[in-house]
Amino acid sequence: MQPAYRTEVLSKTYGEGPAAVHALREVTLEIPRGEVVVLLGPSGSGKSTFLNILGGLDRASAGRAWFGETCLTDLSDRALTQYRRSHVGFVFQFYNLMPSLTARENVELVTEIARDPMDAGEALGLVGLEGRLDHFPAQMSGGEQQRVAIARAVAKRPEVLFCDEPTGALDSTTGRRVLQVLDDVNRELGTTVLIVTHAAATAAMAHRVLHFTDGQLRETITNETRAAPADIEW
Amino acid sequence: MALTVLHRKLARDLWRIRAQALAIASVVAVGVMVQVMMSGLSDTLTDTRDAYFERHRLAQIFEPVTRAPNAMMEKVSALPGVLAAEGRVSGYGRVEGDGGEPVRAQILSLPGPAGLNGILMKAGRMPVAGRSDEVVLLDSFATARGVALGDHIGVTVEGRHLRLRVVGLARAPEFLFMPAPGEFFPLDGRFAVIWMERKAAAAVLDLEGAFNEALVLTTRARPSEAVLADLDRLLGPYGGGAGFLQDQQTSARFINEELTQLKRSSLFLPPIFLAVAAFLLNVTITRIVQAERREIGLMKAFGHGGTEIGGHYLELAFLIALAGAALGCLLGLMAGRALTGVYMEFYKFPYLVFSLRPGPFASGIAFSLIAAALGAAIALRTVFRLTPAEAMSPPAPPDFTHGRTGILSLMARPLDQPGRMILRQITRQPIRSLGTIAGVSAGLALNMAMLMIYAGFDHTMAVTFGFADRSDAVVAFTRPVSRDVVHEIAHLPGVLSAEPQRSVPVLFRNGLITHRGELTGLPEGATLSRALTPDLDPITPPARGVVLSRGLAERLGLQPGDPISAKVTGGRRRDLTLPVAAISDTLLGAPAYMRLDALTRVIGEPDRITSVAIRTTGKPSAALLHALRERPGVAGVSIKSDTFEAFKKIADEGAGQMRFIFGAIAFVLSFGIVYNAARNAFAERTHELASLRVLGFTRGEVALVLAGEIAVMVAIALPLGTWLGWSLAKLIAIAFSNELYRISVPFDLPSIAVAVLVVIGAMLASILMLRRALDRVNMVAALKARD
Repeated sequence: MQPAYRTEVLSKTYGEGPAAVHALREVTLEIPRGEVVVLLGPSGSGKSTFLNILGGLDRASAGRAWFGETCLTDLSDRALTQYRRSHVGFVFQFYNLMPSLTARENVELVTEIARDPMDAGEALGLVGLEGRLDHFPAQMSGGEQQRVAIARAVAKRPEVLFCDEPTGALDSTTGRRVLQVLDDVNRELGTTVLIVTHAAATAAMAHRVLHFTDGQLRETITNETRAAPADIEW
Repeated sequence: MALTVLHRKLARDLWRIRAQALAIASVVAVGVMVQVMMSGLSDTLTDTRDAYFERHRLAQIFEPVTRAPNAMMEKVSALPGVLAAEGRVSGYGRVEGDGGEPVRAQILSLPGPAGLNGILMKAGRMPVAGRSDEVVLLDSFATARGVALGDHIGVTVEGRHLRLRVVGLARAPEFLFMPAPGEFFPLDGRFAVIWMERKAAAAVLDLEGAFNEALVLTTRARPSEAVLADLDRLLGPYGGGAGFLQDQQTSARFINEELTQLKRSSLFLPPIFLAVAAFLLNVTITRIVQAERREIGLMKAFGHGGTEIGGHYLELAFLIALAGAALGCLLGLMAGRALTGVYMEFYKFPYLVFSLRPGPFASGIAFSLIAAALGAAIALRTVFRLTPAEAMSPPAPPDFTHGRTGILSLMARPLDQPGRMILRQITRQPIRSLGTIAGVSAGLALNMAMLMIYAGFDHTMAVTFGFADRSDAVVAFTRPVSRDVVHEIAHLPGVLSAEPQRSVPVLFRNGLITHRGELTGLPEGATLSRALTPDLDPITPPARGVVLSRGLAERLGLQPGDPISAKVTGGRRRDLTLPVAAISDTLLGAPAYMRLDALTRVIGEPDRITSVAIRTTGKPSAALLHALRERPGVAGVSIKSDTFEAFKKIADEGAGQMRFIFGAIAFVLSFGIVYNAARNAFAERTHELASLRVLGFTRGEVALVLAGEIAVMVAIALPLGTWLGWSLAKLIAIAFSNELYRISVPFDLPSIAVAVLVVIGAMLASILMLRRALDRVNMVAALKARD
């Protein structure tokens, strides 16, 4: 099977000359479809930069990245927008919901422009929020808001779900609940899930763990057995 | 130390929000500019008028008589309350011109030893004593007719032909605004004033040893009205009794009316601008303070006091307000000077007394600062309520639960999600949205109202010259002549039709209110000069009674059926009491009409007329003017097209400048408000907009969410502003209408279109500027931010 992503000596440098910061140095790897992949590493290790480039939020300075047959590093701005619109979903640490829209409407924001979306109610059901459809973000807890963000991200049936510190702003119980939802999405929809996190314990739920340090991919670990999110402690 | 760092932060903050700060400062500047400009203009012109009148000792009382012996002046001087008095001789003649139309001239004796109604020599010298052929000529007439010092002019007075040498050119406060007798609009070349030595003038006018007008300056000890009453009694036997105060003198009356209007506009226009500026400052400062809550929390955590932090944001607000106010003062001064020049030329003031009262500057600046302080205070209050920890943690998502029920949810139902975001964003902070809508409406309304007022001038001209007065020229006679002259004039070359008219100078009175004007007799079935109803239908004056123009009726407080008293002040003096038969909607002047035969009967001069209105083929021909010059009884001919052109020129020049100024002001105002609203929306929701980009919305679609919010508010403001503008135009029209002219405001679609386009232009400019900012948004950075 063709991998979801493939990169060749992918690099990202911010700034120039002596002040240049090498956020990502020559990363070459393959990410198979349908896996839960956890990207670990300290701050500034390049994991988020890597995620942003694969997600079409940022551009590489050198090297190439493919999404299936599509070379992401060659895409125009407009084509990247289309790529984000059709193929990938995002979950961020700070939810980034539209405060002026209800839970259902936040999801509909995406389903209205997607090609083959699921019903907004169904997506919210998937994250266990069927009872909170008409609540505004201001009326929900952080965990609930994050689950709405996940529902919004998966509602368009993306092939890949990118999560940047999805549990970073949550307590451990709520965090576990959110990880469970991500695991469910992977299991039930076959979505490839990429999670960037500081929390090393999260690695236990992954098929594959990528360790980043100083902009480089140091190590790739494949878990023989995966822990259930409910069993993760941090 | 902390102070320096905070100041550095202040400078950087200002630089960061420079575009927005500039937009706000511009609105503040416009408000202060209008304030400084209008009050400066009003003060300067008022002071100039006062100085001009005082220095040249313009009489406070004018008492025309038929003929009184010079010795009577001693008795006049002896009246209680009289400070200075002088008798002069005054009469009318005709300047024999250069082949054009005959022109009226007023012959006046030069000011006497008391110097009342003095003149200001612009060139040349006074006539030498004993030289009866030397005269001083009104300089505006000389300029218009190309008469130079040393030139000779031919003047016919009382049938005598005089050859006079112009030795001096002068201006006088008495003739700042002087239409020829029987006309309502002054044309420099249409009316000459000739000052002669007293003896020479008296000889020409058959008034040796006598005077026919007493001029009086009064002391403060006694009211002028009381002195006037004494004077009327004293000179009654000599044909007096119809004296009037300075404010009834034609020229002074016009200037006063104009200055009153200017004062009125300087009182009501600036506050609108300052209020809008205050609102903008308030909203923006609130936004900035809210965006800085984390920094404020941090500063508090570090131990900065509330006063220190508050002062920091107050300084930011003050700096913007002060910069705007200072710019406004400067622009106001410049615009005021420029406009003063225009006014000075129009009123023929020989010099200007520049008036820079601190009041308008101080109030403009103070108002701006208070607005800034209020804006900052309201915003800071909410932030200070938070503990440092609360302030430093991300704010809870803004509450939109109000949009879930009721009319808003119904309105939102058919919309897509971006549509709902727009609607809820607007309705979540209704006060702010309403303020934006109100501000844009105000800008639109101001511009539209001013445009409509100017369209009103055009309308006034169209009605006056197209419906009320349809003649091509009016031939005036030096003294009343037989009505039969109409037939003779009707047979002159190029004359299509001719209609007789009679004007009688009168003093109208209703109780204590008086008005110096004219009664005009029009023939039955007149077609050339008519009184009109509001629908522009002609009113035929009845066999008995007077048709008053609305301005005059309002001034005298009269309605149809009321009696009006009219004292005839020329020819055979009589006191008439007549019923008011109808009110006509005359827009220019304040005439009173009677049927010709009825008027000549009541004044005891049956069928004697003073002018003939004629309709000609095209502009009156040289042959016609020649034929009229040959008739010694003709005092002057006023050609309608000349009056029309002159009026149009003034309307186009003065109004043209004002149109431009108000258009520019409206643009600044609309742009300032719209740009700020857009900028604030953008700043508050950067990460929302970035989220949309991440979710796969294109730049255009994201821009639409932002532009949609602005467009919706502007769309609401357009009809509201149009309605406001229409109401404001009607209000201004009432405020600006006086007895000299009435402004009737037509519902002028081009005015509305221009005003609306200015607002839409301002909106598009704002959106374009934001589109650039939007394109630069760093999605990743925006999304990692906590709020």
